[in-house]
Amino acid sequence: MSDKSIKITGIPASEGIGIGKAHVIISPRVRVYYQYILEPMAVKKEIERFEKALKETENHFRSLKEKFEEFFENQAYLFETYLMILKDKAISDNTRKIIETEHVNAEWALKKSLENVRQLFCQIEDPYIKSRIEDVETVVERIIRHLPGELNSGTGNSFINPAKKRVIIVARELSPLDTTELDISKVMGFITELGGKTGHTAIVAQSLDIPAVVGLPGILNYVKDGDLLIVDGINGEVIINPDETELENYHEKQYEYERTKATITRKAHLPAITVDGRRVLVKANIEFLEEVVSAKSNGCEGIGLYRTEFLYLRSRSIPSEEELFDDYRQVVELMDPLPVTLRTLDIGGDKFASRPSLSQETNPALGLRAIRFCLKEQGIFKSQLRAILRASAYGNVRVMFPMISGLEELLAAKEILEGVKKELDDQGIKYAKDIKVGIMVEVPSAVTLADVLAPLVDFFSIGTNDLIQYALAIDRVNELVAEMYKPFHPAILRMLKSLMKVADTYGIEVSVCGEMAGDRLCIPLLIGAGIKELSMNPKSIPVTKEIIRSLNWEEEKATFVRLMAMRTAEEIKEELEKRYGLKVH
Amino acid sequence: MRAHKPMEHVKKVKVANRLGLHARAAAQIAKTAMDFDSDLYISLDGKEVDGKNLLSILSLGAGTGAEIVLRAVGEDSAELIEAVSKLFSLRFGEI
Repeated sequence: MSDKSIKITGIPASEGIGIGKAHVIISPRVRVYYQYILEPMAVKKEIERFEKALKETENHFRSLKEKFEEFFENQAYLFETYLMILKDKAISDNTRKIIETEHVNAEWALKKSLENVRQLFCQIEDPYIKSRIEDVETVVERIIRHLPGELNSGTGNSFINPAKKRVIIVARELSPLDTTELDISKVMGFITELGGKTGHTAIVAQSLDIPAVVGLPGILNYVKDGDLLIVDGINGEVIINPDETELENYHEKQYEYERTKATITRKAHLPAITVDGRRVLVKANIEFLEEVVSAKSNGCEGIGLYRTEFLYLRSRSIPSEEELFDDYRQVVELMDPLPVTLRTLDIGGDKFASRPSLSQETNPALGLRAIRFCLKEQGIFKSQLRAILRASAYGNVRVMFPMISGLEELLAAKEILEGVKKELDDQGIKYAKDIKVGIMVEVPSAVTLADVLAPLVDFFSIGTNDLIQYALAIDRVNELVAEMYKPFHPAILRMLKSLMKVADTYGIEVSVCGEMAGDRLCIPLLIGAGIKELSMNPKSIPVTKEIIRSLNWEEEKATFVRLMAMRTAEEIKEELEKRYGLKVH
Repeated sequence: MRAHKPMEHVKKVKVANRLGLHARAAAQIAKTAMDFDSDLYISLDGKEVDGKNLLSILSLGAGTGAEIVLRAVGEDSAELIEAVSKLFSLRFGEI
């Protein structure tokens, strides 16, 4: 090949290495040409052509909507929205009018209609709503694709599918619509100009285990259809027209990566023991019953956190004790004899449509939620506790209270629990009398008061996401400050250390169930701090176990002592990156 | 014949979902409104638009926290207002 090889670095969005031919999608912008229609009769024909395209686009959206309706409500709604835009006067009527009065082709008229709408959107201040002009653009582009004739050579709706062989998709950006139309079995990798680590392409690629690199401005200027490409989703690199040596290297890398991955998966069911023999339990966080399957197949050693909100949110009303019991019992039975930790309701009153008076909190993160809400709404709380206790007769159940900030809340919650137990006793209903009780440590005051709370509980579970958010006063959804959300903050490390010390004194188990638990840089740190139990999303379990197997506990303890002496998050992160950043798993 | 003024109902609501009145939320409003015979008008800061038209609603650019006025005109205007304001209080099923 005569072309010189080019290497470009972007953002790694999904792990893995893909090698193959480029399939460039010149989308979402289609090229539109201007045509003046001379004959009056032809104008009528042009309108018919437009109507036909409208109808076909509508059918296309409808069929996609039906396809997704059953399982992906969100996707289905997207198509409902597209259908409404399609039928909007500003698009359909306006385009017809432009064809009639200006004697132009439908493509051009559509483009003009879009420009009119764009004008309207220009005046919008809210940046998010302003950006939704993209939805209108997607719809208009789709109508244009359905316009029959020479200009678009009938690419119709499946503009992505022409690929017969397996390819690497190269695009400006992939919209949800694009990805739903993709024939995934033919995709070996994704490369996009735009997008970030949490963008749509990244999420899709990760969920399908396809390597992806995003954030490569100008990549479309370098790649043409059929070019040989290497996508390195581990390091975020793309090589266009690689030479022989590069190809050889990457084939080897790809083989190595896949072999390691296979080994990790194969070893997922084995325990995670450090080089020097310390066993660390790795459990799963789940949100609903169905996830138990994935948790088990990924080798979890119990459910470390069952977030019980789903049943409440799904129905928008309060589920009955029977419904809850039935759900919990199934999870518990499926996991038995491994333990299941059920966290009691962790939502605020605003989520209940039946209580609109509670919906006006200005600061819900600091408002009436979790245990605070449950202590106020004791009926809801008791019915959940009854369901949990009843389920405990069917396996290994632990109960955990969220957002405990001091002794009063813990005492009150435990008192209610005892009351419910007594009720069950009186009614002769079975439950595990020795059920273990724990708390989420996520409010900074609970760390400070750990020695007061410890004698009353069997375990602590650190919810790192909230603990960091509350301790550093950072709302990580707020993009203005999200960067300041730092798991490696020395204050967090000190909190961790002081909590571990208290737990040791009182002989209490401590687990970590926030995102830190599954982060490859954080795992050694947590192990070094003395943590013996981690809980995370099921998919991260196999890799986490493998990381633990590569660690030496004594060494990590020493490292943790060294990290404790550091004074900034930057320093700590740098040190961890130096030690663990380059290891590829 | 009895001259009669068309029924009108007005209600103030607040945009409470985090992302504001974006396409999906606006679609829910327009779709709900279309089930009624009455007309719906939505206004923000003195600008009033057709509440049965998706793009018009979007053009209001109502972000989170915006105070919006719903005005329905017609026989079933009370029911229309009721149905649409319920969408707001449920935050369009979002956070």
